[in-house]
Amino acid sequence: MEILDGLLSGLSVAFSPMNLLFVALGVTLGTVFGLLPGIGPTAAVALLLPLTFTMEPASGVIMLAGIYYGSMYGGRIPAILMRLPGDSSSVLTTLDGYPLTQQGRAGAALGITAIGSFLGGTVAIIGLTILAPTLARYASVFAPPELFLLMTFGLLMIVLIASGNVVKSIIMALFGILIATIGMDPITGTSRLTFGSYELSAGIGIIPLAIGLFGIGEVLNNMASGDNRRQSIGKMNGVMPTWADWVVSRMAILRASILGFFIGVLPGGGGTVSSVFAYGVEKKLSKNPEKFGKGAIDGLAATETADNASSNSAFVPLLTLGVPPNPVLALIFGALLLQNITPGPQLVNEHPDVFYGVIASMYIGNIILLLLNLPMIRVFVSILRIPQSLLGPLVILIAICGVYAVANSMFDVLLMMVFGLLGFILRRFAFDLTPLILGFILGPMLEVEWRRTMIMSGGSMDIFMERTGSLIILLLLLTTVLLVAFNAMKRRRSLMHRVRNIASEEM
Amino acid sequence: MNSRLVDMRQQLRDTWAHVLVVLVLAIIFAIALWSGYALGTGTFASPGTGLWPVLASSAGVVLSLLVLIHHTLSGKEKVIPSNELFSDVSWRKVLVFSASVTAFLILYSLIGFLLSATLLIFVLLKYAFEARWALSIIMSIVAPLLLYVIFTELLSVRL
Repeated sequence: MEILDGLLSGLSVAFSPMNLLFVALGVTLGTVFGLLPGIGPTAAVALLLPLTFTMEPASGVIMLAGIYYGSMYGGRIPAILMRLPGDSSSVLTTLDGYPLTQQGRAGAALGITAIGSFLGGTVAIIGLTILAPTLARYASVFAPPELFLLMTFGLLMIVLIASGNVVKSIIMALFGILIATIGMDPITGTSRLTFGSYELSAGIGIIPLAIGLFGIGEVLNNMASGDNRRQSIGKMNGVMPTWADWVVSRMAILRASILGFFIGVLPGGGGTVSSVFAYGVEKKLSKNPEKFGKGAIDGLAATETADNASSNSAFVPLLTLGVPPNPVLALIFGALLLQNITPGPQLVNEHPDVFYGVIASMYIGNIILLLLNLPMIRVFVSILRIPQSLLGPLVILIAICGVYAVANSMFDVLLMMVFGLLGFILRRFAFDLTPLILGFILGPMLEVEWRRTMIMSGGSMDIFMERTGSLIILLLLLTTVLLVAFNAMKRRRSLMHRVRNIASEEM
Repeated sequence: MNSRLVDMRQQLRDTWAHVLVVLVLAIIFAIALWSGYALGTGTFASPGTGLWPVLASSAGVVLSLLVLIHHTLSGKEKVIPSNELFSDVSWRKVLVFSASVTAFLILYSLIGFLLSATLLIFVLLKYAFEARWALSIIMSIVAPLLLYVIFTELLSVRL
């Protein structure tokens, strides 16, 4: 009953004319940015983040959420038509999507993925509506030791899942935490690591960091590798899949919806992991596994459905525990912080308009996306014809204006450019930027909860083992770390072994 | 070369240049560690301002050193050639980007947003993104003007 009341109040927030406009704007912009090659969802949200500062908190988050799941829809279009994945989660879409385009079935591929995305998204939003308030209620009893361990757990999961090299990812997370310590001490207000710079004493903002790392870094990467070619776009006939396509795909869509929802709830589990998982399951269950990779429409439907389901359910840990499970949600977390709202167990009680408003807006956003992606798909496809050489400088200019607008500071623009170069270099050396941004976002909160815990315990670490809640999280954390670290080591060893074998065969 | 091998090497990427990046990070962590100590760490029960940066940076120093030691002992550079990492990168374009952005930041305070942004976009389009002359000229005039109007008129931001 409480959930239903909450949802109804959320719908009244989401159905206000301005919020309807913002959700429509968000999903449209998200689709456009998602389909532009080289601009993934993280860059899209980072670039458009400054626009939300002047908005009401609920409206701002509604628009940013729309950009996020809209970009998931958009990302599949170049993946299917051009074999050009916009982000890592679209890589799997190319496997069966592009072969279908080559077979003259691009329309069916786009159609079934739009329907799958809609159904997956809707299942996940229903799950989110039920699970989020319940989880928030349980989490509201958490004290600093549990919150500290929970955030550490979230960060570690992302570090362990995000990249093959665990140590490099931990280094990145620590680097993010360190960058966040620049500026004022959150408790005493003393300046630290500013090296006498007046500008740095206010700290480094999420906007110059995120736009630099993900926006400018990505543009630089595309520019420097000379990837300015205009690629050919596959031909598209109608956008409705045949009845046979639907029959083959319907169970795959159902399974992927549920699977995507549950994987999306886990930190680091959204997007790519859910797509890989759903694809693997469908390949195992399929009567024709040999078709996978050659245009299996059920495989394609499964990856896109899981991708969208997980992007919606990823809001569960953010809204209920205050742990952003991926970089995009870390940015939405940052946007809320800038509005003086701290996401976490208290969000549902303190800001029910934001909590339920965002959830309710997702139902609306998902319907708008289905409408945009079936009858209006050709409009979006035509955007793919914009050459990369035009987009890059435009993104740089938007980034400059956006970053400057936040604090009227050219120093922030300089910082953004520095982080852009840093992002470019780190990306080139296969350093995952996800742990960096999450370390940056979670760092200040980790510090505050750590200091509160230590004050509670008089400096004793035993507190983590004396409290039932923290002990459970601690055991869960240790088990996960051991399991994932063991698997990562095994994978790396086998990779090294295979490299040596192939190298010796070639000599 | 076997494409599978290239893919695998891309995943490993433990080259001398990669080690250089880790070394730079280790130095940054070490500077932060030193600065944190200078601020005072206090105790766990009564933490000083420098405690958190010291905890984060000491973990960073240890892990970076572990990577460096591991690299030195395993000699992985023999497995992965270092010159493959940046073979597709045009350093001239990165230089054009860095120089034009620096010039923009200097010129902004002298000649204002519109002119400096026009120059920046023109240089980036023509020399970094290698667009045609006509497109570069049109875009470098239209794009800054459009954004100027959006930001100053619609969003009330003084550029």
